Amino acid sequence: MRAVIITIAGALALCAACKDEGPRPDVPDAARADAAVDAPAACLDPQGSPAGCFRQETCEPEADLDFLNGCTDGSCVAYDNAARLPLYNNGTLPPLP
Amino acid sequence: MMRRLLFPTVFLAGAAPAAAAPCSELPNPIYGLGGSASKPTLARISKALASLPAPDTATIVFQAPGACLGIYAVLNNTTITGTASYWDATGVEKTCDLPAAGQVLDFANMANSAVLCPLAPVPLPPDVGDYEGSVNTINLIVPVASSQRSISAAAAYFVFGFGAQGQAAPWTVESEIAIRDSNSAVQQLLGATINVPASKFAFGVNALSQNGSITRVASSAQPEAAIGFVSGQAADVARATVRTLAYQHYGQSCGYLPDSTETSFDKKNVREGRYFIWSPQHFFAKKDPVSGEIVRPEARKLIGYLTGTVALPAGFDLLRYQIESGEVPRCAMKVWREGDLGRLSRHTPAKACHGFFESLTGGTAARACPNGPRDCTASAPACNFGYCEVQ
Repeated sequence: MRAVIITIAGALALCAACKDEGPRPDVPDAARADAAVDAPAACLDPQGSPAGCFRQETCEPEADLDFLNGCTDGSCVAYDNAARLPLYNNGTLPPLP
Repeated sequence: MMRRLLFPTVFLAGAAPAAAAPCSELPNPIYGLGGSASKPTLARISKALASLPAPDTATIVFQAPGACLGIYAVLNNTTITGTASYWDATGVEKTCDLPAAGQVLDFANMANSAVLCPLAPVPLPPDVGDYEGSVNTINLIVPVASSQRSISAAAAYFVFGFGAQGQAAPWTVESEIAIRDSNSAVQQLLGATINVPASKFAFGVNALSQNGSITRVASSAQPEAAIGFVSGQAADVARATVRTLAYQHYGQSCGYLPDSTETSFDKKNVREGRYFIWSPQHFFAKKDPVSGEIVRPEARKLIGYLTGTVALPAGFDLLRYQIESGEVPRCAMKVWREGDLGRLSRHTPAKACHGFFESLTGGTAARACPNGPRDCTASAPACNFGYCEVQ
């Protein structure tokens, strides 16, 4: 029984390394993927909640960040990456060890 | 390329001495295998199925050794042995004994698609079907005694990808970081979200299960340093001991909870696209490659209920069970995505259930229509599940 389990665990570990594990986050947050920086200025509300939010009522959201940064009357809790993460480096994150 | 592993005895590792009743003697057993993230929903559905009269009565018999192990077993025709969970008509979880020679599976279930499981072929072979269920979230949790309220994708990248070296205070004590293994759906989905492959969560302690993560985080002697991640269903039922952190994705300007507040259950930020980490449940079963019909009758019936291809028996209120167990049915979503964590898009359900969902979760009051569509107005003329909807 033990031999079977060890053999299976070994096979799983070996084959897990076969798969593409995706890109590493070596680009700044603001430039990532489909950031809302491409949204027309009229679609962003500097007085909205949160500030600079995407106006989904008047503009058609197309990118993930148009939804994620959509204006809302709900509450949110911001996390200040630059202030709290010594290794943040303006969003250019180091590769995984 | 198919990387097929033949390991028909893999689950013998978890086999316990025979002590319970045979699973085969339960009413119409439906055998499943997968992760623990979906167990609350399966439990609720199984309770309802067990309460139905013949011939609709049924019993879901489920083992939860890990999400990816379910799809691997379907792919490889692996049988299951040992003991399994089932739920009686009162909803109590019990165990039964599987045949020593092995029981053929009816379905596999997990919170992610097969793409994130490294041994599964992409695409799946034509004799394996992938059927989507309702939505569940992945929640980052801390003890209620912690002062922390939010976390960003970058912070989670440092916590789970670097441990103490990541310097993402206060989560720098590796013995207080609860992780899972690379077969876990919650680790697969969180890893894909923050760009830490599930196999590289090397800094932390494997809590082994959803309940293990809850217990480990909740009972930490250093609550400010403790952190873990579980399914939304698990986090919701443990709110007395753990708190879900607001999550701020890469490029997002603020962090959001799945719900509108710490005390609500409305999943407002999931349904409207501000909370990033969610995925529909996936059910897998063998199917006829030509007709597309699910091969095993019991799986065909259960998955048919979930996908709407089989009429629900009288008294079987599936939508209610899904909502009450903490999931969001697709008909209550205002955004959708294709694939694991795929691009978001607006979603207009063909038969919306926003009002019904909110009636059960304490969201915005919707107009009820106890007398049918004549109770509704022109702006929301359809009467769906007792509430007026646009369509």
